[in-house]
Amino acid sequence: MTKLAKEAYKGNVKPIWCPGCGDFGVLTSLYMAMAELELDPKKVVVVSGIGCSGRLPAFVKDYGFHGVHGRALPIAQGVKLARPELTVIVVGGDGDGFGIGGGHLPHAARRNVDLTYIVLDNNTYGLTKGQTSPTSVVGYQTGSTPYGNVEEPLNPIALTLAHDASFVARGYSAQAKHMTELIMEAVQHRGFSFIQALSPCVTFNHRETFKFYASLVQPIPVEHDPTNKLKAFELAYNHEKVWLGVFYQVKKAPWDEKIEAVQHRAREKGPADLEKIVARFA
Amino acid sequence: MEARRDIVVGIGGEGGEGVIVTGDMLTLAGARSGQHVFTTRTFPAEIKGGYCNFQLRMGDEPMHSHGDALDVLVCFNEEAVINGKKDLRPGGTLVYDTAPATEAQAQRVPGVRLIGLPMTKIASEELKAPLSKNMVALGATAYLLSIPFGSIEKLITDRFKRKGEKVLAANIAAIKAGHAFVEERCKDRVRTYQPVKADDRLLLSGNQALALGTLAAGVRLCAAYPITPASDIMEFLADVLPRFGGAVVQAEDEMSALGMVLGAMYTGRRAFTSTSGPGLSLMTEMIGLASMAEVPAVIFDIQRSGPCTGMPTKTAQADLLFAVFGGSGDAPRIVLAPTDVEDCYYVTQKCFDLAERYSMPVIMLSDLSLGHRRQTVPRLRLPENGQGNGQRHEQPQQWAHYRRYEITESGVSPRAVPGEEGGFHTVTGLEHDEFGAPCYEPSMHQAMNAKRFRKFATLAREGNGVKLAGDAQAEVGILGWGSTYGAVLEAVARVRGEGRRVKVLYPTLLNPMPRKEIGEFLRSVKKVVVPELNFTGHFATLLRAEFGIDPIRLDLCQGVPFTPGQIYATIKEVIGRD
Repeated sequence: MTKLAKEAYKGNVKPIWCPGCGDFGVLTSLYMAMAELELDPKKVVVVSGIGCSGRLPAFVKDYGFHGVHGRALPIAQGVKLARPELTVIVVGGDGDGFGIGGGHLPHAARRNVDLTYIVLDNNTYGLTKGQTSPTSVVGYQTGSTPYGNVEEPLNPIALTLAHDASFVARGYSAQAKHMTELIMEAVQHRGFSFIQALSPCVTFNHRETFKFYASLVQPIPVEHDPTNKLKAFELAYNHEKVWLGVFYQVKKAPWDEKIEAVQHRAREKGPADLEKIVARFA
Repeated sequence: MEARRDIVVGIGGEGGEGVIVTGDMLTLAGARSGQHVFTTRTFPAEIKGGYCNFQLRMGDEPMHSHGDALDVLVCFNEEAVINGKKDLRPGGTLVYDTAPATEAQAQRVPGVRLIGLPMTKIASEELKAPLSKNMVALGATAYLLSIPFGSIEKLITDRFKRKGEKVLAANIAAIKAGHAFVEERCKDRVRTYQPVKADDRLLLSGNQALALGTLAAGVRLCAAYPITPASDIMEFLADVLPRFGGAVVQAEDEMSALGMVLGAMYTGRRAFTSTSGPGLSLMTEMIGLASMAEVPAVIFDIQRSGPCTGMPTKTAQADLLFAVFGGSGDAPRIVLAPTDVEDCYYVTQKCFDLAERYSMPVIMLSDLSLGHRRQTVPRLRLPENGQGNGQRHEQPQQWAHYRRYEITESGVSPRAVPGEEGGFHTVTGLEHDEFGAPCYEPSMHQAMNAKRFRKFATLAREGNGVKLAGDAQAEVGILGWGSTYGAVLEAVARVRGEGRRVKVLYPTLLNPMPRKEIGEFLRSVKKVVVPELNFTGHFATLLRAEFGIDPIRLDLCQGVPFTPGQIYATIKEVIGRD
């Protein structure tokens, strides 16, 4: 396939996000990564759940599945299981992925399904107009927490490390070039790759703003060994800085290879012959 | 001795005593000697132990139900006598272990032939193999039923030879001892029959037939969460589906299971999930998604007694209204119900065909009694390539300006799948225009709802399978669904044998209802009886809504299937009302 311009990956539907939304930066990086990787649009499926970022599949010219709240990962795993040759990219927000859909993340990670999961984290529920989210800080005041949020926020990087994901990274919407590189690395990684994409909500979240991140974000030190999980945890729990880059990456057999191995073992036991299988019941 | 065409045997005891193994061996040996068989069993609620019971009906002709009263009751313990004696017909045979408590109970059962069989004593004292107690009972029962001893011996050898010579020898000795004990004392067998070779049949459970049906349909993914009474479907396929290049995935929950199915079906591969009521509850939102996004999906609900966790090991037909209506908004889905074990194989394949042709979720309602009963069935029609079918239907004819949700007369829009050039689209659970772009225009929502429901009208034009039985002309009609069919057929045969007229209609398709066929049936009779295993009369409610009739309801919700006798009594009562 000849290389396409990033514009070739733009869908016919125009984004409905607020002007200045962090999600635009992530979307642009996704277009750029797809162009750089020379992905054939007909062999890409972008899957999402519900939320502001859940609308993203319609903005990409490829195959898309906009599902229900929190269930993007199950749908994406079904796609990958059925058609391992497809490139599967899952997008969603912090509420979709860590709140309502939190039960699926550990399992997609431990299966090491070969897909890329980008969580566009804005620390709030934007689509429903600014309620508190699983990554909102204590004290965060919203319509659903008028006296301030009393629940500890989740740490998405630490959480995903704990689930044994084989690729864990963090990017920032305002740093499009770096985000593009991360998405490219994640898509090329054989196995479950997770990117926390910091994506400020300019309408409802007045804490985690572009200004807030400007002084905090910093590239992960070059000497960090991405195969060292304990060091990755240390970086994840370092609250002085918001580290950007690949926290952790290891090689592990992806799900499709393991399933193929099972198919091989099953064929050693007997042929794919329905008549023979039915004969067991004669 | 009475010449009996068929016989019903019950075996009861403590879980772990080998009740089920004994029943299975009798069933298999009976089937291999040319008999038709029909089994049912109850599971103990306990994880280990607890009372369990196996029922086998065996005869010269094909049978449709597990029968009525027991001709023979084999009791491993006191509890089995207490639980089983009410089911034993007068003059029946009660075989019991001679342990004092069991013997004392058995002696108090009036009007039956008593056979005290020292199962425990023979196994423990004579054979020094206490675990072979059930084998003593097996040998004795096989004698009473005239099942060829050689046939039992072969089954036991196949089953135990891998456990070593010693274990095998002990088991063979035990069946011989049981056989000999009864042979010496009871000259009268309960029934005799002529063994024949019958290799035109299979011995299958409803769930096994269903699983084979998915293979014949070319399924490549089963994603499911373990639940009684559906787990054996995924377990069977976990062994064989990978041979066909497929996979069985134990999902983290039922929402994930159905999500995986939608993902796979979206790409043009066949997939399904199997579950029971509690799992179906969790899948509700995703059923709405499949309906709205027009992504095919197949769900097998092996119903059990509810609500909530209910009675997991007991049967029911109480998910019908939920299957038809469960969910938010107006979400069309197809609902089917097989009526017997053989039907499970064919209706399963129809589910995939309909799901793909109508781009819609399809729910098939089986139940515990149908899923777990084992029955001799005629040889199955297999797909010609031995691999299963499974071609996607309705490929787009042209790609210029491809519209995934094109508004068509049939309601069905051509479906592109990933990999196809020019078929780009995003399926969505949001209301959308023809291209799939989110759209909340009032007229669009109206038009899209109409399009989605128009598929039902198209489906109705196909002409749909209903089962008609009984008299062509009758004043009383039985209109039912699902697994109750067999008991109804036998009850109707009995009523007709007495010279009374009655007719039967069982639609396989429950949603949308085959209006034409049901309408004609309703117009042809004066009274309609609707038997179903639930408390509120689900099917009767649907019939009332669709046809404005007030049928005579026969609702039973005791966790057990109907006996033909219960149906027979109701028909007689309804006929006698004039």
